[in-house]
Amino acid sequence: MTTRRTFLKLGTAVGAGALIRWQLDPTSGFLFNTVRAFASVGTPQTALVGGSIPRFADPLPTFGGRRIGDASIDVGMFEFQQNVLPNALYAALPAPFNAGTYVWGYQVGTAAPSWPGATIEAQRGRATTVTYVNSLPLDPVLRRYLTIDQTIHWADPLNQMGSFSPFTGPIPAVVHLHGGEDSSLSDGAPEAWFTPDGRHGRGYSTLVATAPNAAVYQYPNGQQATTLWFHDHALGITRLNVFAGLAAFYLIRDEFDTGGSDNPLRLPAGPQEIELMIQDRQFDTNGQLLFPDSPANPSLVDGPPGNPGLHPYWIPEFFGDVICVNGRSWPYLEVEPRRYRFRIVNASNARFFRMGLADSASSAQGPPLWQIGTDGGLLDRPAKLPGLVEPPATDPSPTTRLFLAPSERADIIIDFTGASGRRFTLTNDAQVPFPSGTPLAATDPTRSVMEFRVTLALSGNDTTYDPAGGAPLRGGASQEPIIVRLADPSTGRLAPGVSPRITRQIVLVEGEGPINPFEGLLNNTKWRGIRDRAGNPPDIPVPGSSQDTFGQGIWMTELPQVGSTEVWEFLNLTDDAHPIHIHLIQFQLINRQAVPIDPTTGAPTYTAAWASQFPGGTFAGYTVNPDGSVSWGLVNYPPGTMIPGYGPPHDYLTPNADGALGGNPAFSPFLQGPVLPPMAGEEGWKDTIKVFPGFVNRFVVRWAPQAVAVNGVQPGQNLYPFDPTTGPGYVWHCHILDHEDNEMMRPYLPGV
Amino acid sequence: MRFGPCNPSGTRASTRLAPSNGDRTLRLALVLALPTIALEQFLHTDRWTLAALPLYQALHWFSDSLLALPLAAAGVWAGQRIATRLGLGDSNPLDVVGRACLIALLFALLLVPGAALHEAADRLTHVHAGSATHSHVPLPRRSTGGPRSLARFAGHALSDAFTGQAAGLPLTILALLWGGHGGPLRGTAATKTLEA
Repeated sequence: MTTRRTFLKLGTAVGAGALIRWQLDPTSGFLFNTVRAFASVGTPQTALVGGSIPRFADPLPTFGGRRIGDASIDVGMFEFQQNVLPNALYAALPAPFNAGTYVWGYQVGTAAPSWPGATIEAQRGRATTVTYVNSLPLDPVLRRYLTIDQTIHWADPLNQMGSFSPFTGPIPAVVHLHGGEDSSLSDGAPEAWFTPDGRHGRGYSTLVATAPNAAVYQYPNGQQATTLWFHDHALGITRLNVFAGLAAFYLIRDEFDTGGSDNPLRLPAGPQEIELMIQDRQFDTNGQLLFPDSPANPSLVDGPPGNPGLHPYWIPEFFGDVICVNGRSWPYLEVEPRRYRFRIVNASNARFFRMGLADSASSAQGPPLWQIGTDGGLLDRPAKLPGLVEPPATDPSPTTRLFLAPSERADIIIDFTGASGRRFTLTNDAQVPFPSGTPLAATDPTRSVMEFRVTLALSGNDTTYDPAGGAPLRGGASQEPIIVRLADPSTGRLAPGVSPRITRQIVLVEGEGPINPFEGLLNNTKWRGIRDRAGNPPDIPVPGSSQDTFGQGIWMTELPQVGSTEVWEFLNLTDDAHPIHIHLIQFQLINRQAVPIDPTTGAPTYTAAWASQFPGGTFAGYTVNPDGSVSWGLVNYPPGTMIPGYGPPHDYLTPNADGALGGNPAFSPFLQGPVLPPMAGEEGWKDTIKVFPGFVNRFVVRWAPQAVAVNGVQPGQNLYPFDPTTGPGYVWHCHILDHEDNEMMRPYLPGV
Repeated sequence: MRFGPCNPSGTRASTRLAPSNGDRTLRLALVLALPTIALEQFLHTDRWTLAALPLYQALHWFSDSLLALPLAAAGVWAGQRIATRLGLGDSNPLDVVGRACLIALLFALLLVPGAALHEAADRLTHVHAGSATHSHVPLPRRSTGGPRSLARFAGHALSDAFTGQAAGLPLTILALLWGGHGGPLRGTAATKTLEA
């Protein structure tokens, strides 16, 4: 009897335990919903005016002493609260807001989760294996603030694409190491997303079997020492995931740029080497993130979603009125009167920054910014950026300021020597959008980024590298060899010996809705490479494209040969600049040259010539209903009219009169004015370059490690330590996150 | 149906006036399982998750403890038997400590396969998805794919289990001392009388 009774009790206990566990399951439980969720918050938000927030109230969070350098690292994605705005502001808020702003962030290794996540510090030549775990809650607080639009082509874990209701399921995420030379299996392809409950996109892959809500990636770190960053890259939701905080730095070190105070380059190190992740954000009166999604929460610049009948919540670009650096609004940094090295990334959704230093008290010009490195590594010599006050740029005319589009990085040195007691503001004067936006008002809070306070005592003689001396950073003893030049920045031409195998001529366009654009397009082609017939069969791939072999259902037009060199010419037919990023490779800017695109001048434009080539037909578009609303539908386009999403007007693989692929009319008959060589900060290796409107922007691209000599690789020869021709493939895209989320991204895969 | 003698207050007493061996085993198992699992969970859950979802964590701990109860009961039962056979008494403090150590050791060993079951339960119920939670939710290096990773997993589980005893063992000792007498599992006159 005892035995029976005992077993009965044991069974009851186990049953109770199992019942509780079952009900804790976020996918099937119904008893503990309030237990699983954070404290309930409402979605209505009242915007907090950025200009009302005290600036320079809290110190800059830095990563020195908490960078993670292990060969194998776990990186989790979490939701948590963090003080982003001044501490005093939270103290006055009710619970739960007084505990900070809800953000998503990476927990890198043993470091606490934070926005941005702790920096990964990799060693050149030693692989880093990262296990990314999507541990975001199934019912995250932020999902109620960041409305997920399901009408754009996105990850769609619950197969609800096209629904006009906000997504309420598990958040898909995938991580891309921006600028990394790595296998596409570890590149964070947009379709490689995975959710907290283990759903996968069709491009998902993992180095070794792992938990369903995780993926294991490996980075060989074969490239030169530089400043990379990793961030979310899930299809159609990147803008929200990065906005929420999923971003962090990834530094590659080598035997020269060691990060130690005894580094052979004598670059400032230790407490004098500081990462700056610059991002704009908007907040509500509860100190929570505000992402414009409706007339109730309009955008500061674009207004509420302009075409709600097409995309109810998506906006063309997000621009916030609060500048955050390392997850803090307008922080300050106390410095010694000596040289500092700053590793800067513009990690904003859409905002460009043109920066200089100004004395906080007198507004007089501050010390110059010395740029010593770009996206892909050190420059041969430092470039002086005096940071002069200039009229707003409307074209790629040279600037004396540090000019960064989203995702561009700069490695700079500021010399505070002799400035004890002074304060300097890092200023910004880039209009939004760039360059078509109006100049920033004198009172615009986004004119300042952060403040440097030269208040610390000099801790010892400063014997670090002095950029003012102009000494080379490469090519000497204990230095990296000089940059392998694919393009000559002094002439704006290809470097001697560089023979591109193919030239591609590609246009950047936008699908224009009644109010504002409803999508951006690369070569007028959507993500899938299918001519859009609003869901009506048959699907017609863009002529000249090939279907991917990974089962993602996408058609690729850019299929370069590994080891080959090509010239990609981007003609931007839109009003604004687009930072174009190509995965896998570092490349170089050859030059820019103007092309008329403005129809108001009366002069022949390339845009008109290009549009005239379209044959007409019935394809997807928007229709204006009798009540004035707009909705998707089939539209009969007459011949000679641009058809959004049709692809180029001609077969992609048929060379045009310039001998270029891409399916577009030749650019050369429309070229105007001089060839403009790269600006001072663009003369090195780049993985993201600003493509200015009304200009052909020419890149020289090569599918080989960046250190390989000009003639050190032949087409068909793979010099990477991995096979770049397999896997889900790579992408190239506009790095305005709101654009890349809505069709302004194309897949590509090198072939043999 | 049998009724026990009335107690002084006149209410009916039952055969449960004194706990049976089974009841004692269960109570001891609870005393062992609850703190052991609590400590394991505390050590494996980052403080941000603990702070963000305290009730979720409490329910998770309670459910895990109940699910581990059979293992703890088996540890108590086997530990008591072995201790008796080794001649350990139930009144001498040193003997009690030895008895508790035996129980804790067996429970720790049983928690190794228990960890695999726990991981399966986590997978089945998407614990990793419900919130940012346990760091010991399956990670590839702890997968049971090959002998080496299996050994690593077992080692990790054993380490966890022993760590957990830092909470379980002292309470088990206290329970044995306070409750008197882990006692023989069978054959005492008292229990035989009560169960007759």
